[in-house]
Amino acid sequence: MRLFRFFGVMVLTLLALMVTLAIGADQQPVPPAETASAAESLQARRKALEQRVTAKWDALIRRDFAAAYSFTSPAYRKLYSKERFQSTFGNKVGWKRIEITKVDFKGDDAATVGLNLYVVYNGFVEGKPIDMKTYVEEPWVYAEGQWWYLMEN
Amino acid sequence: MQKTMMKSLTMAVGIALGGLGVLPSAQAVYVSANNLGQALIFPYYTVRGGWMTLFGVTNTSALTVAVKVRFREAYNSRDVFDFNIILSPYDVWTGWVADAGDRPALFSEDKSCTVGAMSPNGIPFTDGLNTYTGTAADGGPTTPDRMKEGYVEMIMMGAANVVTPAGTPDLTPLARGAIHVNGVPTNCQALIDAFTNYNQLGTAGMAPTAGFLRGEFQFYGVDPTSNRSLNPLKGTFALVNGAKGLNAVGLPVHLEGYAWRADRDVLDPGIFMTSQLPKDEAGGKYYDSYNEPSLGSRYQDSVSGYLQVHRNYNELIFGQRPIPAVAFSHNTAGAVRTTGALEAVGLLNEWSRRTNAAAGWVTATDWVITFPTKHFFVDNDPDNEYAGRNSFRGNAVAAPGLTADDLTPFSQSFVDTAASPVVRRGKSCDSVSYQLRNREEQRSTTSLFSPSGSSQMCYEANVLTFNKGAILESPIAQSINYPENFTFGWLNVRFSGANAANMGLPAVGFGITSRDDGSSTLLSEAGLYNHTIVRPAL
Repeated sequence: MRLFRFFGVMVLTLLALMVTLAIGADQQPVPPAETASAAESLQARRKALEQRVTAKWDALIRRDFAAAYSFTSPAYRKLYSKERFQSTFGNKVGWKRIEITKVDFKGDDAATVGLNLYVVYNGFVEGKPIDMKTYVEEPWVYAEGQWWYLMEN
Repeated sequence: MQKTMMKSLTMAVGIALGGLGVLPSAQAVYVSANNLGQALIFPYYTVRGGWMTLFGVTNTSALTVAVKVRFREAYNSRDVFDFNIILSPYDVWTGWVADAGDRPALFSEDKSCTVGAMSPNGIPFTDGLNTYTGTAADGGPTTPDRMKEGYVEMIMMGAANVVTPAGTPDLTPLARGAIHVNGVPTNCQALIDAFTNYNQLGTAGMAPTAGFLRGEFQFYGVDPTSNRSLNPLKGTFALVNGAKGLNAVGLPVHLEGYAWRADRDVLDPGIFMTSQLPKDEAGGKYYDSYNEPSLGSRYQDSVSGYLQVHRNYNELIFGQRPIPAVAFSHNTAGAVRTTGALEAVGLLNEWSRRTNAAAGWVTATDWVITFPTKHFFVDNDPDNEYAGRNSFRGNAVAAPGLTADDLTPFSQSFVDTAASPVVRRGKSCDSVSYQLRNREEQRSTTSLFSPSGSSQMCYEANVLTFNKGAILESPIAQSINYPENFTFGWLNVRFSGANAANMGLPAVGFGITSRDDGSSTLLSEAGLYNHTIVRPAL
């Protein structure tokens, strides 16, 4: 008995919702289908960006600087060589892995990516290799249909 | 000839008095020449831009030594994180700070006894926000981000002579708990309990008494095992950039004779031992709370601090040099003494800035200039226990507020709630003059501080960079921009504020330079050099 009442309430609620949606359709700024589409689009953008960020760091972790260089922005690569890019890195830490914790899109063509960076440091102060973690933020830009790391000069 | 004789006389007196840049006296704190001390000042920590900062402190003595560690943020030296380390004989403690997202966190894998939890996974700076927000606001930023750079002080609280085997009765059962067996302290929990139970603090000057912190950690100026001066602490630090793979190592400033009277010890044994509790839970006594000891801790003797000593020697040697005879109250004497020990009329160091990758090296230099006692002069908020000047510490200034004499050697208040209208400026600026030179005698004539346009230092820890090198990525950095085609050289900074005219400002710091070498494989490195301190003329 209770089960029937429950189903009855559910059916009525759904009908009411459908009527409300039908009546209010022309008043909604963004139709549900479009909202879902926008959300999916945002998710897709985020996924594409995260893949690029992860791939860049995977290259650095392998110390494949040529591959890491290929993720820098076209403008950077026009100005600076692969050797110049490589020379900006020291060898006092070894990169181990990253964990992306934040993606802030700034319009359609820029984003800030926050990530936890896990490294091993051959420490002077500690006197032994130590595992360390720090948070860094990276600027990325969208150009020529792709996300690029906006490298400092 | 006369000049030579005068110089010889000055040198002779200087050698007789200790022969150092800063003359040690039996009554004054002074900068150690051999990097051992009772109080250590690490000029800078940062977790910005991938940087992490590592610290190490060694107890070189046979005593068990309690150390207060305090992180102070860069703007106004508010205490954003503090804890105690109890170092057993010959023990070392290490740890580091890194960015945990919106704020720093302290990490440590060390087994030494600490009062304040440690974790290799990080303890975030949480409570520090309270010291500069809400009723404690000072006009500076109010976000956790503010804690991402500053400096660190480590101050010996007291030392215990733990004899082995234990006597009957054992006079140091608490301190004994810090001593390691199989690499770990035997009873750190007893020390944690004692530091967090006000009833176990005891009273300053009490006789040796087991079970009380002040009854066990009785030694300060003299090592009872050798009857020599006790300066047991040695520090090191490193700046490590995890994203760029760089590091640079340095030494803190070590202060000797931090609480050293003519009879080589503090009047009241245990006076600098404090509970790791807020004032309200420490019997309402500020000097028993975690706010102390500090670089401004009051001393137990009458006011005869460094400036008095300094004045006397000036009169002795030069006769006519005018040093104002300022009368310092009991509660401001400590800050004045430490300030006196650190006084600098100027700083010298090198810099390098090359931007043409095709020509070889790419270099950048940042300078750190920290004034670790500034808040005791410029931060006047009587009702705020976190302010440098407050009524609980006993050094607050009542209405109508800070005068030029109160601010001296600094020139501008950061906070002054006794003034009308109330001042919460968010900065406190002191003028500097400077000469930027290349390595070929040439001086830049048109260089400019950017973005302010005026050559001033406005914070407790300041960062300067050269032609926007900005390797420390500090948002409070000022860039000295010069149009000349200089690639490297040196800088001479002079503190030129009106109140700093005779004594300069109490300053510590270093220059850090990074170098990217495009001609070799994977070679980017950094070096760190302490500033040369130009002391006031003696």
